[in-house]
Amino acid sequence: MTEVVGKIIQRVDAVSKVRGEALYPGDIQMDGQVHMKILFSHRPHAIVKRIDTSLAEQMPGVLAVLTAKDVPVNEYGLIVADQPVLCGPGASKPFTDRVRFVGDQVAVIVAETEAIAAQARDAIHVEYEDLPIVTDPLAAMKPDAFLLHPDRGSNVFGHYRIRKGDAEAALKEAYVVVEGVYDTPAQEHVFLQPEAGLGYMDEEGRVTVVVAGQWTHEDQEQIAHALNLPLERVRVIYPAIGGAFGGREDMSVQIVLGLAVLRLSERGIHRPVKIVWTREESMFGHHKRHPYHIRTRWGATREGKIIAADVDVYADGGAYIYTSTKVLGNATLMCTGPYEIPNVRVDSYAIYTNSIPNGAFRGFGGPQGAFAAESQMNKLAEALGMDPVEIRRRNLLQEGSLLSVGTPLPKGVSIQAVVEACAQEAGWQLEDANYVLPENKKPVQISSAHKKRGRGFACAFKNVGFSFGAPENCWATIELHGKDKVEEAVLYHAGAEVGQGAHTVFLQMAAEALGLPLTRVRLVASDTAVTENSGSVSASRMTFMAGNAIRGAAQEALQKWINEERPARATFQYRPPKTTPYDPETGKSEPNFSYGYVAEAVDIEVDVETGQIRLLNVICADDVGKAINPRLVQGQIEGAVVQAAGYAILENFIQQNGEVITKTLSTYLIPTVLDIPDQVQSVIMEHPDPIGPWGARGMGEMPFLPLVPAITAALHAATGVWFDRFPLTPERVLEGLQQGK
Amino acid sequence: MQTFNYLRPAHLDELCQALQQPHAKIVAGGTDVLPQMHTGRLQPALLVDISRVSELEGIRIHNTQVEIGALTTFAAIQAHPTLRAAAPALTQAAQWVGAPMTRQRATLGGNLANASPAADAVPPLMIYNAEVTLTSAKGSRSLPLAQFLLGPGQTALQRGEFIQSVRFELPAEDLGSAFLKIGPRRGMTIAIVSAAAAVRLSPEGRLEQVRVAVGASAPTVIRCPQTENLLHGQLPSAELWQSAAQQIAVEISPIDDVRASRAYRRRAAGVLAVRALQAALSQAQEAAQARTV
Repeated sequence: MTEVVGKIIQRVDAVSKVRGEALYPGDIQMDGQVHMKILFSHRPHAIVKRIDTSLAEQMPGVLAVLTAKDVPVNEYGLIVADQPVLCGPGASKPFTDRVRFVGDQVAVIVAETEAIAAQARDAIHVEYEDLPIVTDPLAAMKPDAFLLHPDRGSNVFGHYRIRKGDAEAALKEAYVVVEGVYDTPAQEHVFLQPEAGLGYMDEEGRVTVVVAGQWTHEDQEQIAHALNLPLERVRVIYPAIGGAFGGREDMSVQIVLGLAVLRLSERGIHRPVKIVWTREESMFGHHKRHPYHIRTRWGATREGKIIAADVDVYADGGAYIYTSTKVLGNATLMCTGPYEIPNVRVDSYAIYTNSIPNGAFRGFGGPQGAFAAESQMNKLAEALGMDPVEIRRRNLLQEGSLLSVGTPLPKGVSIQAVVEACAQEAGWQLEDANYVLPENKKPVQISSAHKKRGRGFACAFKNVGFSFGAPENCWATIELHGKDKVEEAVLYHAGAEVGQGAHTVFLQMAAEALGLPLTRVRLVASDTAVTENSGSVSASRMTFMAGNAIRGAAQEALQKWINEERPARATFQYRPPKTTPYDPETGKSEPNFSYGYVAEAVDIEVDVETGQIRLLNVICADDVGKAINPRLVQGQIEGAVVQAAGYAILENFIQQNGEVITKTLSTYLIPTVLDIPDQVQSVIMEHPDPIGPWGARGMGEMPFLPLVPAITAALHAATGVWFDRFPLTPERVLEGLQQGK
Repeated sequence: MQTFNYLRPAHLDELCQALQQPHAKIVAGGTDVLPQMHTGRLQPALLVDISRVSELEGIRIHNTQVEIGALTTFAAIQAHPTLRAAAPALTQAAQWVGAPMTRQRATLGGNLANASPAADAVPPLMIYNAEVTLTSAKGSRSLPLAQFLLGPGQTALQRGEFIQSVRFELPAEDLGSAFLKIGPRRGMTIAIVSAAAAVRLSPEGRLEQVRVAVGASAPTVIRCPQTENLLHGQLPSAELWQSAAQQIAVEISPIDDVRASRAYRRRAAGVLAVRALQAALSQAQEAAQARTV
């Protein structure tokens, strides 16, 4: 029995955020601060021949104009340092004089006011020599394609292979083969708070950057690398963070703020530097969710047992790698779904183009893979005349089943239970040992000739934590103060609170591990000067990783307390079981140490004359292992469903020839309260993960994954037409219905 | 931030005077002007804030004459009981403007002056045959809405002129009317296409006084006279609605933009206009029934 873990506790940051007292980076004002603006390229592909900053530098109130030549090591990147900090001539690294997308940064301007900085920015004259613009990833793969990064020798920067059994032979023997070609769109994160930050030299002479990110220590490393400073001379602090969703995993203002602080201090100017991006800058300045093109054939027996999956996966990586190789790794695993398939071939590619870089976004390759896999599953069910739940039941991964990569899942496989719980909640019943949706449980049609209703089903699995051999660990430090009894416990943890409630569950888990009431535990968070590396808030990992680290630190601190150390202080590093990378030939690997499982049933209504879709009801069954705080879990489910609903029917990020067409929130539309499902029903399941803290699994991304294929299945149930690309705008739906007739 | 001069007249005569100055830009609720200033698209030398000119405010109804002051907000229009009962298409259109917060500030005059082909208030005003009263130091004049709206962002407003009010005759009880809109989303959305329609039933059950206006499908909101003629005097039937939808598609001249294609607009405008007609018709039928009872 737990005392604090598993309880609904009000978020520790609720009051300050509701009252507007929480300080986000843009809200922070420092004495003597000066302001920064960035000159973006606004060109998809060009060589920067010359940058004339003389007019800008002469403007009264301008303190500094910095370009490529001022960056000590002009490169950065989370996985591969393939992006210049500032694009332009003068840097030692070759090809850093190129801009490769419209949001590449060319110069930074520091001035007394934001207005002067903007004026100075507009007074900089840049001479470009345009290069051919490459936007189609498939064309970019061709041998004669123009290379974005000549030093890398190819526009293809990521490729994985899976070879299990003989997919081609098995497809020939299959009773039924379903072919599909799927295209998924780019998606913008639209976190509420656009990029912002402050840089200054702290009292110990550290280049300090106050910013909203997802991984303090990685930001610190990337700043230090570009500035050629030892790690300890750089400090990163996160104040309140206005949403992230993966969109803050890569650098935006971090390095340039550090650069400005460094260069100003060399000139004897010791003043804080502040920058706030406009929404428009945010829209073209940071990465998006990858568009994927997936071609696939699945074969099954007459009884609905899948015997083969053959898949080609193409991810548009955009101008730089960001986290694309990792996202591709996930999609490669998830494009065959949570099913045991004896024969699998997958070839997947990530490709450079002159589009905005694509990278991390809630689901991290999972949603794209799931769209293809679940659409295939629903089409197989149709082709065989089977129920979509029943066909899944016959193929779902179980304890000991082998993944496409030839190894079993870690223990605690619960997808079968999750699928059945969701199906039962949505009206499915067992009849003669088969799942069916009885007629009287189907959505009630309304008496309107042009409105049709349908129900769709999909499920998914998603890793918790870093995959495929990436170094994975998380630190926590706990300090116990008092004399005879513990008066106060302090938890030091770097994990970012991006709005998901991480800090609240950290405190709950620390209180539980220490046997203290929540009121006795205090958190010091997200400052590289006082907290150890936590890894990023991504991959649905933070509750799992932090929880295990906090448990370890608590145990050691309590032991020291018994040994009468005062304060009793313990630092603990949690390392999960090791994972391994894809074998280059066969893909054989142990990809992950933990998974979460999810299933969704969706009711929709479609207007067949206008193509408008209304989401009536979503049932989401999600195995979270242990709900540390059930209300926050529900919030994550509802939030993920709403975000995925936008992805499915509304959000349409348009780029034409490398230019962004939808740069504002009046053209890039996210759901309003009138557009979200009328109802979201969360079925929170608790099958413990054997190695999760109190059994907890990650869950922040999982409910995002099955929603789109569940919606397209519902649309098919209503109209008889399959949709293999989205968003399902009224126009696309109407066009599809006309063609489907 | 831009610098600009700012005047806030308290009365009509002061407003007339203020507008004598060159490059004056009127601001009322600010829901169009301020976003444009923030992005730098609009850089007025002089901003004339009319929000305190009380003569421009309010909805006045004398007998059957409706006069809505330019400063009237969409929240006020939406809440007005007489309009709701007799001119429901305008109420319905007001409900579609922006979000609740926008409707507290956005004004009818602003929606007209902005002259968007997608302006929500215009289709209903067109089917109510509204006229716009324009005033300047030289006096006032009235124009039918169709002559006031000249193109996207273009109006008949002369230098020194402002919109004082919109007038129309309160529709008779037996004239049914309705407004419908398709946007990319359901709230805070710019129309892909919108439609307002009005119709009356003759004692023999034939369509009379048919009026159809379509938004976001031409350089301005337009009436569709050929469709109106096609329907006039006819008995409603499925075939009739189908030919009306086809006629609508011929009468409009939509464009491709970020929200939808021309082809989609042609289809959707027909569907939407017919649905608006049908909604107006069922209102007219109810009125006819009420009369016979």
